[in-house]
Amino acid sequence: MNSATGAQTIDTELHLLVPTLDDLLPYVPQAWQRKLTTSEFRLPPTGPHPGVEIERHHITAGIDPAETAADLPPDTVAALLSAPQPLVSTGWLGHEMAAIFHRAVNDYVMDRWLACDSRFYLAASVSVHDIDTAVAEVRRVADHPRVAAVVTSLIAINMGHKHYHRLYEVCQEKNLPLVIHPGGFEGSVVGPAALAGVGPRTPEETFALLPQVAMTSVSSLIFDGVFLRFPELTIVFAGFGYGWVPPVLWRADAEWRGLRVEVPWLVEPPSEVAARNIRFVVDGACDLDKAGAWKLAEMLPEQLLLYGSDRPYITSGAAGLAGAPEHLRRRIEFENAASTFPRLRIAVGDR
Amino acid sequence: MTAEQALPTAVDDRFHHVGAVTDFDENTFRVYLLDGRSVGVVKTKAGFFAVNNTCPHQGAAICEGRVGGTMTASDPHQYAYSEDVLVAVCPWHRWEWELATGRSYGQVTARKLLTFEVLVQDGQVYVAGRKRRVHTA
Repeated sequence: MNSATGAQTIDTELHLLVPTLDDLLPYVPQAWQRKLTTSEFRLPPTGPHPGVEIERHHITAGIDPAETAADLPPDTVAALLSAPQPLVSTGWLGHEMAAIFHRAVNDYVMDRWLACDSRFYLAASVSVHDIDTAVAEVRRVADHPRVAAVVTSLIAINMGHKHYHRLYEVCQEKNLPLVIHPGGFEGSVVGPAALAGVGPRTPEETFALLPQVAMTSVSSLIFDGVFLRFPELTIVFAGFGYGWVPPVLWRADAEWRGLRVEVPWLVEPPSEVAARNIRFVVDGACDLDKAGAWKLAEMLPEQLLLYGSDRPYITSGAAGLAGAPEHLRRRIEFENAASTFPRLRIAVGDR
Repeated sequence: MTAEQALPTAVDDRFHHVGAVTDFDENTFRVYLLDGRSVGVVKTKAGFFAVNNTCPHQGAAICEGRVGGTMTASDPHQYAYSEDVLVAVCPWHRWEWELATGRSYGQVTARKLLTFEVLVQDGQVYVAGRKRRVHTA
């Protein structure tokens, strides 16, 4: 509990890092162990976050579950773990290897992390190159009581495309929100989701422009009618910020009013679909200290935003929420996550 | 002809004679100045309708737009076109207004397009110049 406010916090974006390939190998099938150790495979050192290369800089944050648990702010009652390293696999050519990698990381986290602290929950990672494999992975891990979500990064197929339908179907069936997180190679030439225009030439440009991916995805999910097919599905965008959301939804509503005839299946304004089925994580990269940040947040339905620390990449914790209006802060730091992730809600309720 | 139009209403001093039935091409507005207001009158397969020639959205001359059926709610990417509902489509932003009720089709807004009572008697068309009375069964 936060001693000052009595508040509880749910961290919906706590990252962990697998330190070395040797740590992962026990969770890799034997033949693939040989392939990984005799090929040029390297464990992605940073995940999708630039500037943090754990092997080079010997960064330990996010590597040790006990240390991470001890470092959690005392008001944190639940933390949704996601491993960024597998998310870079959207840039890989080997789809089977990507699936093996995701599966191994999921097993590693369930074995090493979930057993370490009851506040830890897993967003199980899947590769969306091959949806059959992704669906199988969700089914394999979904019955673990502390698997609370599925996480993926996107390839260059719109989220409204039927390519993803079976993944949406299993997420809805298992009551697991699907978290979308950058893979780090958006805009590059092989596989990952494209960025608009000619495309970035530096990592900094890529990360500055990443919200484009979420904008396109939100639009596609709504206008392609994904939530008509999967009305109980929740999609959570983490790592894309939220300041762009109000104007995109305004624009979507305006275009829908005039062009409803093009999407007659959409019988309500896009912003109302988003309010019901889409959520956005407010993390430390969102410039919460900027004047006006909370004015933007207040332009959205109160249930849309969730708190995520983005640790270990960002270490400010929930301090960034200090400027939020009190009613909004309560929603963001606890209530919205509790109602978005059913398994977190149950566990926190039992606490 | 809609139930509202079918009600036996006599031509009285509210009504303006706007022409003969044969003057009208189907689904094409003719525009008149009635009681100081620009009013569009259109013949359709469902009968005659009259509307205020001002889109409630941003004031476009709606009678310069298309009249006809529209796409109805369907499964995603499975289009269903129907002429059971006839709409006037604003030429500026494509907002659609139901001719029979003035409601926004698809409920993209709560605003309504003003509609006016039309009577056809002995091959002649009459339009009430004031706001149409709403009859209920």
